[in-house]
Amino acid sequence: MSTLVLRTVARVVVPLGVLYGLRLLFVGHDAPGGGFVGGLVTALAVLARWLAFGPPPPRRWERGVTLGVGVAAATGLAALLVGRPPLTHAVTHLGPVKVATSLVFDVGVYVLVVSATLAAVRTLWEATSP
Amino acid sequence: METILLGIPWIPVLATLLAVRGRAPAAVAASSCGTVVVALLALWAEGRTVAAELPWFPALGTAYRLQADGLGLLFALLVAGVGVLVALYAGAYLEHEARQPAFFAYLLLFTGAMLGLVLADDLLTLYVFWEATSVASFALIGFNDDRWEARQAAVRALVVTVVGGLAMLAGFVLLAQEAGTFRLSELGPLRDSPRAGWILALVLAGAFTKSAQVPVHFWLPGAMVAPTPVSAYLHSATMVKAGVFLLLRMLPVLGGLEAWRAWVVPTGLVTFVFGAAVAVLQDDLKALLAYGTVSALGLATALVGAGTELGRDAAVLYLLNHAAYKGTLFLLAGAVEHEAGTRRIRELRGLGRRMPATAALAAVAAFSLAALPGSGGFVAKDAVAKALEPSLEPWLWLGAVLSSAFAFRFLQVFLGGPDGVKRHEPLGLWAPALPLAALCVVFGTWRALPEAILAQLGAGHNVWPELSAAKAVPAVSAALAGTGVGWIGTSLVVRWPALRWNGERVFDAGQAALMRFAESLTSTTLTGRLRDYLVVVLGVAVVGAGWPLVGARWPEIRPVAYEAVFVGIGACAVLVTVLSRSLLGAVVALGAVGYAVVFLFMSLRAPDVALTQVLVETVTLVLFLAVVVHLLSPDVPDRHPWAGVDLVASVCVGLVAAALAFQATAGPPTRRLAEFFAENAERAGGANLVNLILVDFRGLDTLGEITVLGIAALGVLALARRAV
Repeated sequence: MSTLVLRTVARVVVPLGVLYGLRLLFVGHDAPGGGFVGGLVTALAVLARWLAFGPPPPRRWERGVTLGVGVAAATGLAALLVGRPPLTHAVTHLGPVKVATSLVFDVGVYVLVVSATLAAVRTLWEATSP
Repeated sequence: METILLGIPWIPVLATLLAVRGRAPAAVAASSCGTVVVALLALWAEGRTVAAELPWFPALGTAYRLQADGLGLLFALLVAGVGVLVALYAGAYLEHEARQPAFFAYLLLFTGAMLGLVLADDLLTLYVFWEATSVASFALIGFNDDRWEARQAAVRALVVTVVGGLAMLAGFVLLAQEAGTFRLSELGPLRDSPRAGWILALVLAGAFTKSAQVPVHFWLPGAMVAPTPVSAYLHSATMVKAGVFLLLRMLPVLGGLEAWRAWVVPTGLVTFVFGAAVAVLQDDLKALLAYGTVSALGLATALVGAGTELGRDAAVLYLLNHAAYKGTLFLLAGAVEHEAGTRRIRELRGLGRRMPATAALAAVAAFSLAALPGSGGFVAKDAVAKALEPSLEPWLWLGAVLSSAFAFRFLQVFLGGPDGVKRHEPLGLWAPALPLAALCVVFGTWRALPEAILAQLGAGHNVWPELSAAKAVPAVSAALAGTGVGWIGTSLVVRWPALRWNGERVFDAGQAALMRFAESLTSTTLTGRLRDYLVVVLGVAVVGAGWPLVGARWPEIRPVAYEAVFVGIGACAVLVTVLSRSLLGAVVALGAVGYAVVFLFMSLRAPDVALTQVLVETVTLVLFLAVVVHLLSPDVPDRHPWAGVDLVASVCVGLVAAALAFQATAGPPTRRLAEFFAENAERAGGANLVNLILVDFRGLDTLGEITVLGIAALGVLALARRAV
C-alpha cells in the first residue's frame, strides 16, 4: 500500500489533517466541530501516515484513554471546588479571546477519541499483520 | 453511663486490633471481656434502664440504639462472663496453634456482635449484629480450613442461619411498617391480621434457624468440627441462644397472636425430645453435647411459646443454667480430647484416676444437667414444670430421663479402672470450668441468685422450690431411670448413620444440584460463538424495544423529493452489500450506505451530525479495509447454514430501529426543549447548540459515553494483548 503517490500526498495532508482536527476542537463552541469530530479527524490524519509509512511500534495507549476520561471528569468535578453542581461550566472573555471551561472538557473528549481510535487500529493491525 | 453502654459492643471489637498483633492474644481477649463485665455491672448497679442512641439512618427512622434492660443485661453478662473463661481456656487449648491471633480476633468480633445483639433496642441494629454473629461463627467453624468437613460445616451453618436472618429482616421491616417504629421498646402488641401472620412466620424463621430447631437443627451438630472453645462458647452458651432471645424480645409484641403458641410450642417440644433421644445414642462426646444443646434450645423455645410471664422467666432461668452446665461439660470434653487424643466414648475409660479435677467438675455439671435437688438444674426444671401446661408433663418426664441418660453417658469416660496410659491435666484446661461448675451449685443452693435474676426481669413471683420429698423423689427417680437408659444406650450405641439423611444430606444434595444447574446453564449459554451471542443480544433488543411499539400510532410520512433520492441510493447500497460476492465489495458498499445518510443529514441542515457521520464512516471504512479484511477469508461462502437466521435477525433489527426513529418524531413537536436550549445558549457563551448540548447541557451524558468508549478501547487492548 505504501506507494510513492500515497507517501507524497501524506507528507502534505497529514500535518494539515492534524491542524484541521485541532481547529475543529477549538471552534466547536461556536461552529460545527468539537472534541469528538476533531479527535476523529486527527486520528484519520495519523492513520493516513501509518498507511503511507507503516505503523510505529505500539505505545501504551491506555494512558491516553485514561488521561482523556480523567481530564473530562476532573473538569466536571472542578465546579464542586467553587460550590457549584458538578459539570457546571463558565465562560469569560480575555480581550478578544473567549475562554470557556467547557473547552477543557472537550479536550478530554479529544484526547480520548484520538487514543481510543489509534489504540484499536494499532492493536488490530498487530493482530492481522502476518 | 450512656456512653459506656454505646461503647460496650466495641470494646472486644477494638481489642481485635491488639489481638492480631500476636502478643498474648488470649490475655487480650480475656481482659477485654473482663472490662465488659465490669461495665455491665456498673450498668446493673445503676438500678434503672439505661438507653442511648446514635443517629444512623434518620430518614428511615432507625438508629444505633442500645438499651440495658434486665433481659439484655443478663444475656450480656452471660456473653462477657463466659467469654472471659473461654478466652483463658482457649489460650491453653490452642497453645500449639500458629494462628492463635486470628482465632482470638474472630472470637472477639463474635463477642462484640453478640453483645450488640442482646443490648440492641432497634430492629435493624439487632439484625446487623445478628448477621455479624453468623459471619463470626462461619469463620470459627471453618477455622481448620484445610479440612473439607470444617469448610462444609461452616458453609452449612452460614447458609442456614443467614437465610433465616434474611427472612427475619423481611419480618422486621413489615413489623416496623405496621408499628410505625423500628424501636424495640416502643413496639406494642400486634393484632391478628394476615400481615401479622407473615411477620410471625418470618421472625420465627430467623429464631428457629439460629436456635437450631428441628428440622434445621443439623447445622449445630455439624458445627462441632470447630475447636472446642468455639463449641463451648458460640454453639452452646451464647450464639445459639440468640434465637430464643429473639423470641423473648418478641414475646410482648407477637406473643398475643393465636399462631404464636400453635407454632412455637410444638416446634420446641419436638426439638426437645428429638435432641435428647439422639444425644443418648452418640458416641462422640461433643456430638452428644451438641444434641443435648439442641434439646435444651427446644425446651426453652417451648417455654417462650407458652406466652406467659412464668414461661418467660422459666426460659431465662433454664437458659442461664444450661450455659453453666453445658459450658462446663464442653470445656471438659475439650480437655479430655486434648489429653486423650480422642472424643469417642467407647475408647475412653477410667479417666477419673488420671484427671481427678476434670472428673469432679464434670460430675458437678452432670448433677445439674440431671436436675438433681440442690443443683441449678433442679431450680430451673421446677420453674419449667410450673410454666408448662399440665398436659405437657409427660414430655417433660421423657426429656428429664433422656437428659439424665446422656449426662450418665458423658460421665462414663471417667469411670472404670485406669487404662495404664500416663496422662496429666494442665491447669488451663480445667480451671476456667471451675466458676461455671460453681455456678451450677450456687444457683441451686443460694436463693438470692435466681431471685435477683427474676427481679431484673421485673417478675413478681417466686420460683424457689422449697425442697420436699414430693419434689425430690420424682427428680431422683428420673435421674435413676436416666442412668438405666444411659446404660442400655451404651450397649445399643449406633454411630447414627441412619439419621444422617436429615437436613445435612438434604442441604448437601441441594447444594450439589445447584452447582450442576449452574454448570449446565453455563455450558448451554456460553457457546463461545459470537453469532449465538449476537442473535441473543439483538433478539432481546428487538423484543424489548419493539414490544412497546405494538399498537402505537404512526406519524404521517411526507417524503420530500431529494430525501427520497438519498434514501434510494442508501437502499441500493444495502442491496449491494447483502448480495455482494466479495467481502471487499460488501465493505465498500456498506460505506456507501453511510455516506448516503451523510447527505440526508446535510439536507436536514445538521452539519455537526453530518460531520460526525462522515468521519465515523471513514474511520470504520479505513479500519475495515486496512485491518479487518485480513482477519476474514476473502470469499463470502455461497451457502451459509445460518444465513436465514442472520437475515431474519438483521431485518428485525432494522425494522425496530426504524420504528423507534419514527416514534421519536411521532409525538407533538416539543418546542419547549428547543427554546430552552436557544435561550440558554447565550448564558453558556457558545453559538453551536449541538456542541453546547454535548459539553454543557448534557455534559453528564457525554462523560458517560466517553467512559464507555474508553472502557471499550481498554477492552480491545486487553483482548489483543491476550491473543498475541
